[in-house]
Amino acid sequence: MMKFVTYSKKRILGFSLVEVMIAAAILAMGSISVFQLFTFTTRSTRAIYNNSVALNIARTTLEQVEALGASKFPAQSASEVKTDRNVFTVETSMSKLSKIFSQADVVVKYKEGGRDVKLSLSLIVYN
Amino acid sequence: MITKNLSAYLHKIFNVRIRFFEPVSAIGQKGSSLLVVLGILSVIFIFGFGYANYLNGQVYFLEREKDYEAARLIIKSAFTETLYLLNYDNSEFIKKLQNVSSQGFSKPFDFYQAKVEASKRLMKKIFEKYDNPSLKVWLELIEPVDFKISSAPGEKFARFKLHGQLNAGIIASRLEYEVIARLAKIVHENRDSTYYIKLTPERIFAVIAKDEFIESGRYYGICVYTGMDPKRAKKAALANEEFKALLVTPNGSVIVDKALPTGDFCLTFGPAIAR
Repeated sequence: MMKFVTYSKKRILGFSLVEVMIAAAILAMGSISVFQLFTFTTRSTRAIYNNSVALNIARTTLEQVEALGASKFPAQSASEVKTDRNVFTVETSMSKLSKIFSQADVVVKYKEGGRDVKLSLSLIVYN
Repeated sequence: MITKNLSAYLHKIFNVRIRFFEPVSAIGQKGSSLLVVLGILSVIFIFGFGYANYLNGQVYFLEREKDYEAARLIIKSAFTETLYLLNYDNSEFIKKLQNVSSQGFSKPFDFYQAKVEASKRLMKKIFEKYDNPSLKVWLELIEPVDFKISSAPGEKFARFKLHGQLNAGIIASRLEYEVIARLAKIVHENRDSTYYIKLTPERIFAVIAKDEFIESGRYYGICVYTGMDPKRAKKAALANEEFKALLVTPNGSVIVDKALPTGDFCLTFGPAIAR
């Protein structure tokens, strides 16, 4: 019968199977989270890009309304802005608050990872 | 005892042997594979989670950026409304402005608080998810110029800082503009005499270059028309009910007189300068 002592001498030479399996399992778990991080980064970058473009479109439209006056714009209008990565639908509406002021609302819609995203901004301008 | 039996059992079945509680140094090994892997992984985790956290923060602030822009536009709307209201519904403000002198003035930081109802309604609609969003617009008096110091009789200038502040949940936005108010006394009997008004280039507070501006009623007080066709401007100004101003040419001759009939004073604001 083989004694345990001889095994301990053998063990010094290499890793046990359990050690290797535990190490592999932890490494696999770690790798999964690292790969998930890559996906998250890609998704975040796309979201940041789309949001910035939409915000700029809304801001530019409102600046135009402010410069020209609300009366120069139709009560409801829609247009499309295409970039190399996405299509943005711009909906503009003017609602009269008084003889002097109007409220200009701009809604920019786009698709982000299969879901619809809506960004809206408003400003009170002279008629 | 249990661990010893378990170890023997595992050895019997799988031909492997585990020592559960013995430190690595006691076994006499130089290192353990498990420890090395754990070391590498901890480094990956620390940097990986740090980066993921940073990205999460970026996305979070990006989502808030839209709200901050909306807040900024609401304050801008409130400024538009304030300047208009001060020009048309300004009795309280004019009284305050009449009473200040360049020698001293009290409460300069909260000289006048504007009631901006339309902008407040807009704010409540946009920030309805937050409880009690608040919008405050006030004028801080920087420098008044006394009637006596002012070269033309019946005129007063004052520089103001126009402050706007919006708070809604985690959103806190603030804007500052600088405006110049001009309190001009137009004496009725001298209305026809442009000489009395003494318009000089530095006293021009609004320059109208397009008929569209007159048609939209955007200017009030004393307006100087620099367009090509004064006859057309006159027609447009007379036709527009909102246009209440004294419209003159740069050399001072009157085109239209539709100045405020309610009093002798006409308050006008210079351009707002964003800071």
